[in-house]
Amino acid sequence: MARLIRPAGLVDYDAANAEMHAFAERRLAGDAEDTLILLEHPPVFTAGRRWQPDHIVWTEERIAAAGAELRFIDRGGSLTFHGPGQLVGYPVLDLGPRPDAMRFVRDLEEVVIRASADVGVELHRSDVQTGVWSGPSKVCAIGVRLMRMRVSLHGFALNCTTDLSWYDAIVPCGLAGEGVTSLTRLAGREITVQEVAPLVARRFGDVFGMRLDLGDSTWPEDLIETLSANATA
Amino acid sequence: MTVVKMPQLGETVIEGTILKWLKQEGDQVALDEPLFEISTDKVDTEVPSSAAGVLAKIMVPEGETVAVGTELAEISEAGAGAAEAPGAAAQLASDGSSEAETPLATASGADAPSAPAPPAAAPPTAPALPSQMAASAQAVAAPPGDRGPRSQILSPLVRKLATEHGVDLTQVSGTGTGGRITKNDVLGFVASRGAGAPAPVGATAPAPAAQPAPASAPAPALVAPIAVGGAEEIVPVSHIRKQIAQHMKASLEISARAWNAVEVNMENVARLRERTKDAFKAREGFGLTYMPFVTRAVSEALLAHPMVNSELRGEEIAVKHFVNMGIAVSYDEGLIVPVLKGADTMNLLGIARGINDLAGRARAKKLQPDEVHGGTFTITNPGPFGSLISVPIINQPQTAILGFDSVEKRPVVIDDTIAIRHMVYISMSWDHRVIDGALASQFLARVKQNLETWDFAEDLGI
Repeated sequence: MARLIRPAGLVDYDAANAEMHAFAERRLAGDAEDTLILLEHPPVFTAGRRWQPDHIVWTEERIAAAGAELRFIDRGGSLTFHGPGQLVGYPVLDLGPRPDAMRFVRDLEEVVIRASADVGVELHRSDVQTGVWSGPSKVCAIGVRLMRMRVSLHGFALNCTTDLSWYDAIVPCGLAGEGVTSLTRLAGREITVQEVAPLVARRFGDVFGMRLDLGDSTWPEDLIETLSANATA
Repeated sequence: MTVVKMPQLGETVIEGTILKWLKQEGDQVALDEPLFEISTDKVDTEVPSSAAGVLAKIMVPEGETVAVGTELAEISEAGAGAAEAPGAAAQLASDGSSEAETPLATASGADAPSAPAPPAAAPPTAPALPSQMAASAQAVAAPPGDRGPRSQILSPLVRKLATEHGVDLTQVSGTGTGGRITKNDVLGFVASRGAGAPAPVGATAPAPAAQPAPASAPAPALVAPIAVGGAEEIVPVSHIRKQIAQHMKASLEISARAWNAVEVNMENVARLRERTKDAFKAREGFGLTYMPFVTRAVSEALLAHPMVNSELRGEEIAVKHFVNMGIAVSYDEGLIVPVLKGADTMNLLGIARGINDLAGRARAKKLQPDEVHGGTFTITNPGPFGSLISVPIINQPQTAILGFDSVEKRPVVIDDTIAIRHMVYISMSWDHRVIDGALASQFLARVKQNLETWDFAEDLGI
């Protein structure tokens, strides 16, 4: 049974990032099961390995003054934002000895497309860029890293009720001229993380051919504790 | 010397960028230790080392984007350090005589001596030497059990022929599937080489102490493999054939095999499959067979009756509350049973993808060693060849094996009328040391019930 971990509140980015890596090590060693972590972060900008200085519009001081953090991390892609109202998914999956990484990314997109359709918002892929889009605007960013070419790290970030003005601080994913939007803005009604999370979990199970243990909160306890301890309601 | 290449991270990925070398030239590298990081579109990954030794040479610097398969680095085996190679080469070059052939030949041992240069050929020049050494060292590098690309594409027969005729297989062009070298390629090469060629099978060249033992298949004590007389052909027993023989015989000797079968109405499954097969194929890129349905139904029945999913260990029975499903796959050299791990955690779609992946790689001989171990139960499917009912041999140390034969339309009695339905016989060989007929029957009844009553449509998402 694959696991779903869904800590409540806003989970500190550094704590979640460290736990995700530790958890992936355990997955790699066969000491843990395939797991999907679904959570929200306090405002944080993360720069992947392909970031360029001109992708950060605001100064670091201004970002800090606005109450956000800036982190340089080990995933693919360039800059993105996480914050309240955005559903972040970290699938820690063993993709096997010969992973089809692009297929994995396409499958993540499929999860988001189906879950968004469940709340009445039709989204699509882009032929050239990863992520999930509505017209020219991105709704969900995707950035993935594999540990030892096998276990997945990082994942997707789906804007539900996200305050989109945060994106003024960066050139999202290094793509100038591309807009960012949210499910709420597209639907014309409030679509919350709480509404979307179970749908994403369900569609994740469908797409990846797993039966997810929905609503599980008993395992692994140390991970739940760490993530919850770093969460603010 | 192991050559590290840009890995392929999916069928549509054609190139990758070196983000970072995690080791520098001269560093020791352990097997599976992260060696470098690459980036392809939005997916980055660490790449573990495929060999242990010393990172001898980095050929592609950080930041460079190269095609999948491009050679990136060389790893020399521990002990035979990189620094030694140029020195040895220089020394050989300074000899400047054709005697240089001798040490080179010893480097590859009696296994695969380089095709000797024609007598009139110029003595090897210095630049040519390192590459020759690399080539011959590479031939030696693969130990018998190694799953490197070379051993994957050479059949034991080809290997043996090459050894006996002293053929350097790097000189032979393959005409088989995917450029594979066949028996005829080797024999043709030998014939074209002419009678003047040496056949240095028993060459007594002194082996340098530093070199590992030659990697040849253990010197065969068998008679010559090819002796065609009349309509009878003598073929050597392949390694895999021997393994199958031993495994099957041992199973029959140890287990108290009993057998029974049920007839299952597959009408619902057949209709669903018919209705969704085009969309499924279009979306997934492979056809939806009956096997995933059966695997799904059997996995559930195993969780419900875990004694069937058990293993007798002396005075104890290990009862498994998880399902690692062995799927018997036939391929050109015999039979192999890759294991779909965690089959009980997957829905129909996950099982279908898993089986397709395992079967494809089994037939391409690209399974990893850990993918053929750890099964808790096995399904064999002789159905595609028209078999009506079969009596499989238990895949020890498991307790039972299920046979799934041909699904075909048969007249059956339903509610006192005769109807035409898709039917199949599902049978099971089981070990009477561990379970009894009542449980075996209950288990098969559960499988039958699952297949006849479950709605699989939702799992497919079509």
